[in-house]
Amino acid sequence: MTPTPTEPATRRGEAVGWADGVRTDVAGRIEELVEGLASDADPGAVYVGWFAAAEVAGCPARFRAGGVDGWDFPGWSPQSAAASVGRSALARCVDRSSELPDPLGTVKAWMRDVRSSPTSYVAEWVTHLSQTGDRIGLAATAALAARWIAGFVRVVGWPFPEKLALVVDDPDSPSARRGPPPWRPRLSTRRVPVSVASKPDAIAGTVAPSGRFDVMFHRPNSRDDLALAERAAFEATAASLAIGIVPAHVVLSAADTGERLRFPVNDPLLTRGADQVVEVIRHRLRAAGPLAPGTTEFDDATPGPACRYCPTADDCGPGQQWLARPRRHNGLPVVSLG
Amino acid sequence: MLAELLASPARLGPGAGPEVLAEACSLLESAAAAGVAVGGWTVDEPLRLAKRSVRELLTCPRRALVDSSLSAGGDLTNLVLGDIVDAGAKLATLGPRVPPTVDDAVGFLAASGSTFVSDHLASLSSEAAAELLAEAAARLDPLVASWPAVPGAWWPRVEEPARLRLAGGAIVVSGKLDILLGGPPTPLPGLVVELKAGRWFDAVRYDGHLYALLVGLRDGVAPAAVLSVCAGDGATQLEPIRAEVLLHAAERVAEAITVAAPLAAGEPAPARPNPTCPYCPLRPTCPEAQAAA
Repeated sequence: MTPTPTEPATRRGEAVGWADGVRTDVAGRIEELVEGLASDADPGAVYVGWFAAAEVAGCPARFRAGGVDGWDFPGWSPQSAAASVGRSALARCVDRSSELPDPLGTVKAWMRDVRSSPTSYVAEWVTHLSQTGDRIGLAATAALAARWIAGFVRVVGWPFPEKLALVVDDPDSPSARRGPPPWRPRLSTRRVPVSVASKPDAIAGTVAPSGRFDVMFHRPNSRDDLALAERAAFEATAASLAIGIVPAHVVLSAADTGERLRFPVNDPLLTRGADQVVEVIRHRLRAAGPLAPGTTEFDDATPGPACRYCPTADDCGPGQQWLARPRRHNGLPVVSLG
Repeated sequence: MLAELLASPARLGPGAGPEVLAEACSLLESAAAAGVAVGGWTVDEPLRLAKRSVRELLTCPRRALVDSSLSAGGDLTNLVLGDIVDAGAKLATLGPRVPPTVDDAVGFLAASGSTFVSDHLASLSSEAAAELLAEAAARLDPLVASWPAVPGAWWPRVEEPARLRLAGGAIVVSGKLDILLGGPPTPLPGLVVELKAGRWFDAVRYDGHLYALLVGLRDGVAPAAVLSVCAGDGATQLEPIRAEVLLHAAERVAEAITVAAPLAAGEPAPARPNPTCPYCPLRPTCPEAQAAA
């Protein structure tokens, strides 16, 4: 069978040009959105990552209610540091030995190593815990990072695929690579600085114009992720924009379900991802400007169970309607007392 | 007993293999398909099952529908004790040089993102908080004093999640393991350690069976055994996870789905009086419980 033009095999040789095309398309769509922005609106810097895309897909009204500040890094904690520590420790471990790593021992060894000379932000934070005698904070971080390693190794498989590099902040080893910087389109109207970030956990293969590499994303807990194909679409596009080369596959893994799915990157996937990127920017700009005639803040709300925790539910008509339904919890009606 | 098992893993035997897990999965998918047809669950609004909801659907469907905030009957003491003892044993598994204290356990919970215990303690008078912490210490201290060091080759993991999606995600069965040792990709057999702060009761077994099923379906190999450790009475029970046990666990989940489906469709929930009625928040208004009393 002759491959269609959208199949990866026919585009691999031109993976750079392919990514350029995606960049041109997305930049053009962003330019149009910025040109339509009211002259007195100030959306500030617009950051597009997977969490923002998932929030927009979940409920655009709730996303806009976050205002123009957008998502900000909440600071290091055992939870927010787990993946960074896990990747860093695992990368250092696989450089030194081809033995199956012991997750907890790997993390503890990395923590001891970095105390003398921290070379990344997360290592500095771990060192701070150590210097302040916060052994419980260290134990919690070690537990969560070890869980990240255990899940990653179990689902990706051991030994690792050839040429797998973990993405870390201090890639001073053959098993590690620094993540791509965010893509910042050059817009003719310089009012709105936009950045689109891709944060893979690992890259398998060689990042080269041939495009024969996979970007890998791992989640210890998949919770209520959107359809994985949607995540794959976003990450394919974000990686193409940030790296400047279209990857061959997006690999998504989840430790809690044991899933590992490999999505070939093709034009339909990239188009869906580009739509997600543009939607985030559109809603961030809409949050900064005045309401269009005939619209309300909540006219595109998509109510659901998350309305129970939504800070704007009190003002949201669709949300209130949803909450007024007979109460259900975990898919079952709730019996009240009396 | 845990120390003996760590020293002699051959005692645990092999975990059930792919054929048994495939049979369990098939049974569950059949029940899920039939349940979704009646219950109308979707990916966006799925039926979520966990050890407690499975247990309650099978014991008394009406109790299973009680507002979860009332399920403890207003007495949070046992929940707090449970969290502290669990956290202390998990800390001990992670290998500190000295056995963890109750304060360490409370700190570990907070550092891990759970403020339920510290919030509850802050809401109590100083005398009540001290009394609760003393009770927690009475259960935790003997437990961690005898807790063995877990060699790294066992891959000690705490709070590891396991999740099963059925009917394309319209039904989700999930659990969070207190402690998991061994299992793939290590060469050692899998061992689930289930911690209870109170006394041993029969449902502890079923909880362990469910975890073994979830881990087996996740990893493709079932854990060899579940070790239940109850700090309240010092009871420990080692249960080998034979094929029959796994299939029985799957049957229980399938039956819970079958019971839940008409409830989701709006049919009234039947009450089944049982020994837990005295602790049920619905008891004052439940005619069946009143009659049974």
